[in-house]
Amino acid sequence: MKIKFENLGKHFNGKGGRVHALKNIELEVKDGEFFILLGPSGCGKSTLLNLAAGLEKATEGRILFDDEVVADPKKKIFVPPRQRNVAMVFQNYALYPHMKVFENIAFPLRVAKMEKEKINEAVNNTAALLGIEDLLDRKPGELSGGQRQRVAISRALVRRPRVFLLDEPLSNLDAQLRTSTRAELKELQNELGITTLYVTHDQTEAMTLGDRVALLRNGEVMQVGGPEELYNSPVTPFVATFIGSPSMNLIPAEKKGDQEIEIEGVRFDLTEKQAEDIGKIKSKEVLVGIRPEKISLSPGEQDQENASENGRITLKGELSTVEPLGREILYHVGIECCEVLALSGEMEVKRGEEMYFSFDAEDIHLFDAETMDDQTRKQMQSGLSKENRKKIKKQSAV
Amino acid sequence: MGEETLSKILIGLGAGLTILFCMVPFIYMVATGLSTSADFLQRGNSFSFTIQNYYTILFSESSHFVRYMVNSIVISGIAAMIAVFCAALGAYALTRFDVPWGGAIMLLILAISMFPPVSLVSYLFKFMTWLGWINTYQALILPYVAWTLPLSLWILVSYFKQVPLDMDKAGLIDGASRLQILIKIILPVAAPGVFSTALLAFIFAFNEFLFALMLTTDFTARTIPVGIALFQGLHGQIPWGEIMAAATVTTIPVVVLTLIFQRRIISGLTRGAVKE
Repeated sequence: MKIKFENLGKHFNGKGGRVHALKNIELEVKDGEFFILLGPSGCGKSTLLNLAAGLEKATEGRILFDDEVVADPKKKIFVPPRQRNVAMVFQNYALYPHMKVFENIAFPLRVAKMEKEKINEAVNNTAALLGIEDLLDRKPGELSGGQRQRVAISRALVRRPRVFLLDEPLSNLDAQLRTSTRAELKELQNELGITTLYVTHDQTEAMTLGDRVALLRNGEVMQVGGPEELYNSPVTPFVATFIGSPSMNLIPAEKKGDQEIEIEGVRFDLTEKQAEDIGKIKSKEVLVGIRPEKISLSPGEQDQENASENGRITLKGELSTVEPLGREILYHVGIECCEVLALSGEMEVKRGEEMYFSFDAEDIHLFDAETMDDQTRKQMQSGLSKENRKKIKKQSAV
Repeated sequence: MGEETLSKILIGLGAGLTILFCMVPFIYMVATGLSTSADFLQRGNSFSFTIQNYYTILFSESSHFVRYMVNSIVISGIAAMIAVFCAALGAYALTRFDVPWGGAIMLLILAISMFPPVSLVSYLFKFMTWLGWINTYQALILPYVAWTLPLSLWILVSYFKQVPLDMDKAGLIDGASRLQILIKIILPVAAPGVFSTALLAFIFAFNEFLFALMLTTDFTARTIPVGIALFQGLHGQIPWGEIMAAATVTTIPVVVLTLIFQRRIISGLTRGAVKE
């Protein structure tokens, strides 16, 4: 089934006045799609899920399931959850603790007054699908986190709902179990082909699970697209830094004509596509985004004169922190403006030593510096080492 | 003697004394009920065992004790059930919906419950007379429901608050109505609270004296506290033995109820509902 959010808005009347949880949401989830609502906490993603479920009422706009309007505050249309035939899995599972697993799964069918034999059949089939047949006689309190999660999913699937809603279902599982359950969920969704809306704040989950991802922030959709699209072509600094781990570096730069920009005193030419992008940016100040894995590091002296040769840009910095991540090592290199993260193999360098880092001009992303919001700016600045922050303060004082 | 041993002995002694202090009236009551004379503690008197007092109250036609007992159990039981059900509806609304002035409503209810019953009883008597309900079960059930409702509501609100809201959301998604959610999910999950509230409401109604005294005229609807207070001997003397025997028997329903529901009252039933 197709889900369509049209100009959807939701506000709450809180103690501090009116709070806009969602603003002008325009989204279309295709039939059978695994659609991810991604965003930091408080961005409104769970509210959007609740609106789709019918657990909350929208204050503006419409929600359509296929061509049926299920919510339209203007026309006072509101279809309650039980008539929407949606199923939901909650972050904390929300199993009924006084019922055995069988009764938990059977609950939606009992409420729908289905015949006993059919209930038995449906519960057993769903339990078999999730591999929990031997748990049916237990109570939720006797189950592990992973088992409870499966029971919650079974309860959601037993009715064969039109829409499957999941609210951060993996966040309470340990890392190993999360990875395996993630793969199973993907497979299950593929097999059943139920339209799925999945809320998460974890970009790895979003990237691995989603057919498409909508990134939300402060109640607004920042970008919608396939995981690769969000990763490779972020439209704002926020999207650029939110997607990918470790997050994309943003380095302030200056526009020099239509074809050139300058970072930390190093000028370089842009590709045609980049020149086209930069043409759209009105202000002189731009942000250059570069992913940590696209940066290569080299310690020691280097000739700075050829800093932008062959489409490769080389900058000088000072190593401030080294974070071993197992397979790779994350190096924090302080430059004048900020701190740059680079993923690389092992190197014999010490904190405080001078380093050179370089990247291909064609790997950079360009953003209007004015579109950088305070949050991203803060995030960027918090990445600075103490010494660098002091340095910057000194420089700006001079 | 180590410090630890000393502290254990002192704790034991303190606990023993507290228990003794609480139990002495009860033991004295049981002993008096089983004695031929009430003043067995006085110098020169000795305790002689008898079950005559129990026999009299249970089997003598004029005592009506069994009838009082039945009246008390029925009236208190029905009142407690109605009070808990109404309180559950209220507590559900107050904890689940965004009730405007919810906190103020709770305080108002608490304030109402602080009204001294004696200030209401004369009007209540007039009202029940007008309804023609004097000396009937409903004449006591209704005031008892009103009287135990605030307490029940306050206790249930605190219990319902502990039941995660996601439980309601799950119920709504599963297609249940609000009433079904209350009855099939919230009440069972909050069972320890519900049973303790019901038991408290029952005990309150069971022990109530003033309304029972004013609104009943004979054994048809009279409850135990009034019944026992009105026990009189043939020539106006106070039959302490029988009174104490009756009081002892009176404790039985409450003790039995507590024992039956003891397991239910033990909390921890919400274990496994949500990830802690």
